[in-house]
Amino acid sequence: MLAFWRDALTASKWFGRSLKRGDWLWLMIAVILASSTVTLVKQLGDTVQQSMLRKASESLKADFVIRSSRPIEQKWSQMAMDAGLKTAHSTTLTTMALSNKQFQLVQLKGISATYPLRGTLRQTNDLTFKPLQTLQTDEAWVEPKLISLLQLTQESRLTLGHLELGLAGSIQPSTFINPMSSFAPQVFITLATLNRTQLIGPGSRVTYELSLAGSEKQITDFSEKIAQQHNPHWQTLSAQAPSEDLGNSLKTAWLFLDLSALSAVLIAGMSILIASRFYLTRWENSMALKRAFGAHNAKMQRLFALQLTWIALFSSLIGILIGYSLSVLLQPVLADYFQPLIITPPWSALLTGFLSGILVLWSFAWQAFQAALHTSPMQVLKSVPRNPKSIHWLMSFALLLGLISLMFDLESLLWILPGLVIISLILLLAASLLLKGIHRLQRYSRGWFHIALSNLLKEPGLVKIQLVSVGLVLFVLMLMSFVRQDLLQNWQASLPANTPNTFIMNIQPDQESEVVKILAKQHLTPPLVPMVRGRLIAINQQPLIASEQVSDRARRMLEREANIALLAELPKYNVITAKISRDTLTLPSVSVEASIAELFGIQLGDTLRFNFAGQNYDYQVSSLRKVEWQSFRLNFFFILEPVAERPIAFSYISNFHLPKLADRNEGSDRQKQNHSERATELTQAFAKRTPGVLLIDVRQIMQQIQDIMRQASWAVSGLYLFTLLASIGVLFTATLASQQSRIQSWILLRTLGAQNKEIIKIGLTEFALLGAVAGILAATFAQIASGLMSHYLLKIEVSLDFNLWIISLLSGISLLLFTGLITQYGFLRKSARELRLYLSGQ
Amino acid sequence: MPTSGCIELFGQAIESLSEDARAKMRAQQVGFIFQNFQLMPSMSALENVLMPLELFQIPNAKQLALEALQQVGLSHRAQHRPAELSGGEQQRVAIARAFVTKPKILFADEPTGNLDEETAKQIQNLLFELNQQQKTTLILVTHDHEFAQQCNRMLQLVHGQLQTFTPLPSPSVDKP
Repeated sequence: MLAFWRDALTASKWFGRSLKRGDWLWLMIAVILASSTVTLVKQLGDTVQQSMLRKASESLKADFVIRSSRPIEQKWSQMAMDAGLKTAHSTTLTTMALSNKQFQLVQLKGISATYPLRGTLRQTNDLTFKPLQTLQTDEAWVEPKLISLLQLTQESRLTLGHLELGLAGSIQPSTFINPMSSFAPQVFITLATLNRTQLIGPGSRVTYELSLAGSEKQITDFSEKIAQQHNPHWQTLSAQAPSEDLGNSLKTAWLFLDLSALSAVLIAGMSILIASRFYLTRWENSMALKRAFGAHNAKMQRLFALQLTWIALFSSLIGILIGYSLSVLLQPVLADYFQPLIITPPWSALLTGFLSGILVLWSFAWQAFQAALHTSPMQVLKSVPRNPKSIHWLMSFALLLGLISLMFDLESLLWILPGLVIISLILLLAASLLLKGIHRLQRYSRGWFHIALSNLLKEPGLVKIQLVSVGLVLFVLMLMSFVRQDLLQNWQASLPANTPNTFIMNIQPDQESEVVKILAKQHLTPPLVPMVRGRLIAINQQPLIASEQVSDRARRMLEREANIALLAELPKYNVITAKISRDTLTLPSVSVEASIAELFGIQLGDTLRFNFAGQNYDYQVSSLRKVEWQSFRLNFFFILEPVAERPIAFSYISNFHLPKLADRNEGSDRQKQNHSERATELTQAFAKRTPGVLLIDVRQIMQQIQDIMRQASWAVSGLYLFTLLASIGVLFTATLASQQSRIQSWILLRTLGAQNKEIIKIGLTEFALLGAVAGILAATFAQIASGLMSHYLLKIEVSLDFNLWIISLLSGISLLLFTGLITQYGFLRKSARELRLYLSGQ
Repeated sequence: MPTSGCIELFGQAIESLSEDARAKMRAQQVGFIFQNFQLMPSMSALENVLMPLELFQIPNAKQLALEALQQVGLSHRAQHRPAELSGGEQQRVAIARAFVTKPKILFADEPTGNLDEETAKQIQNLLFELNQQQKTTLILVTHDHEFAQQCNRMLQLVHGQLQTFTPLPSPSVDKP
């Protein structure tokens, strides 16, 4: 033990001296790079993720909501409070409201005093009310749409059931993501007031909600308990997965954050791998000498390991400080994009960054460390060949495993690790083949090009490592570009300028002609689609039971009534993926949306039984369709063939784009006003002439989605830039590693009479060649990876991108040329004598 | 290790010892000087001499190292790095490093092979001077016949075999 402390003292002394001399500079820079990037990415990632979750929570007014068709027992609310969660209750039903002798269908929401748990209810300025305070008994807050529908004033009274209420505020509707979730204007009253209206009786369709808010862990723990209940009446909503489509996009965003952290560590790792190769010769000389002086194995191991540990600790500490400081500096910028900005405590990011720094050094320097430790004392007299052992590779791998598991969960580890190993091996193989190609090319080349090629081939081992690392860096960058592009384009591309932004629902058949007239007055001629509400109850006479379904989506589908269209012809914007001839069917036909068919294993020709308000009808599957849900067009899971003998009660639904620009060419403010005015005008016309018809303006929902996507893509771009800068650092290290042999060949060329001009040409050709080869490698792998990602992860079509090859080739060449110019400029100006002096100092 | 035959040092056959036992023997009783000096390029002259002392945690290391540098006449160059020193100065630092641990036996592998004639002479004198002062056995390998003749025992290696044994008149070097 005493020996250990004595060696620790000596190692510290040596480390201190080396630090002053700048001996460990490149290793330290690499470790600082790793720990600072991991700290920054983790801290930014956490902050962005929390802020986005908070934004989603604020729209949901909670972190987690249990929605039920039956009253939610008190014990759940108690259990949530015991778990430290905040709770709020609400009860919602659709009913008629009366004011100014007019009736209007409203969504009445009774809320507890704690509602909302997240965010605030915002007052609109449609009428001048006092600022919002706690909702009092016999008071109501109403949505602006109701104010225009019923022509309400501050003094108006609203009759709901047995009560007549006064108005206390007009608030923004709290629709979130799903445009169909609230088709009637909302009215808020207290729960006690709701009870006194006596509107809830046997048979009323009421939705009970228990809203919860708390820390992420509390929510996760509680939602797991809820998931185990398999309560058929319950539906859960979470800020983490607000809707299926948005959930997928957010998953892509999180994947990007994780990938960028991984790339930072890999970049630093590569830099350490290259730097340690460069240091290895120095370490071996020092080890051989110390062994010649009589140091034994255990002592050497202790002294060397302790010095490396010092490097790791010291550099990681600097790294986390830099990473954290950068994250603090970026806070004001983030605050512009994320409101509110939730700054997470830095401890988790600091710890992960610190451990990453230590582990990245040990994983990537392990090979060199072991090689140096096994230096023979004879090395001082003659060169002794190295004898690498495969066990050291296993150790490196184990350390790498530890490092990556710091950043990812087990599920991601299972595909990331094998992926990395396979990619590295294939890159190595490809690098060997390319080197062979260069070898062949060298035989047929002449002059300076021949010398440049032979310089490149002088140390094939080093070139291979350089190719693999530069290739891997470019590959990760390309991969990130793909994910980023996908994220940015996902919504923008699928939402053309004339995307429908207004829906009209609940048009009864006898109101059809009147609605068409009202719309025609506004120069709108959208198709009216007959629609029924129904439930799928059996496939091929096999009943479907919600509680027996494994997938949540399948359960939800069966629990709720779906909108089903009655159309003789399928919409042109749906892509038919499979169909059979109508003549082969014995029953009326149904066209099924492809993902639903996959979910329930529905095949062409299958018989589906639907229940429409108590009546059951069978239909045979005639086609499967692919649907773009994000397009906001009228889309349906099922489209039924209309049959005269089947009297199903239906209503019409329609949607259209209500343009911002009116026909009159006026100023932009006026035009915007026109837009709202037109929507209000339509709403009032419907209310007067076709009562019951509802107009839903989805602009606000689309705005919410676009806000979230914009935030995600901004975060992604920032991290992308940081990774790009970090990877340039690796290129610098890679250049340094081969500096010695390059200078030796320059000295030789100078001695043989080569002029500066020729040496520059040879030197830069080497860099350009290396860049070109790495660029080709990276493009090949990025193409393969993007193909796999498009197919499996993003579920979009695989496309071959030739621009990618050109961009990769050019960026490889220019990156390396740039690095070459910056790093070599100083050396190229030195005389042969100065160069020799530089070499002897190494 | 010899491929055949046996090497005995201090009465022990070294091939029968473990790597660590051989290291221990080197640490306590053996020193080395090399043709190409083998100084650590990033360390100063003083740090190079300090290295073996610190490796074995010998007390007053700095004091001893400075004295060793003074003995070879380089105390004024203590903070210079090898690249800033001439060949002769570098070899003097290596000699200081070899003698500072007071070994019983010192192996010098062509210590003047990389030096000009005049500097070689100075190094030779320094080696014998320290050898006298510290009573260290000095075993030299050299191509310089004149240098070899200053030793009190000379063995000639021809085609891998020791062919001649020449006792020399000058008793300037202790027998091992």
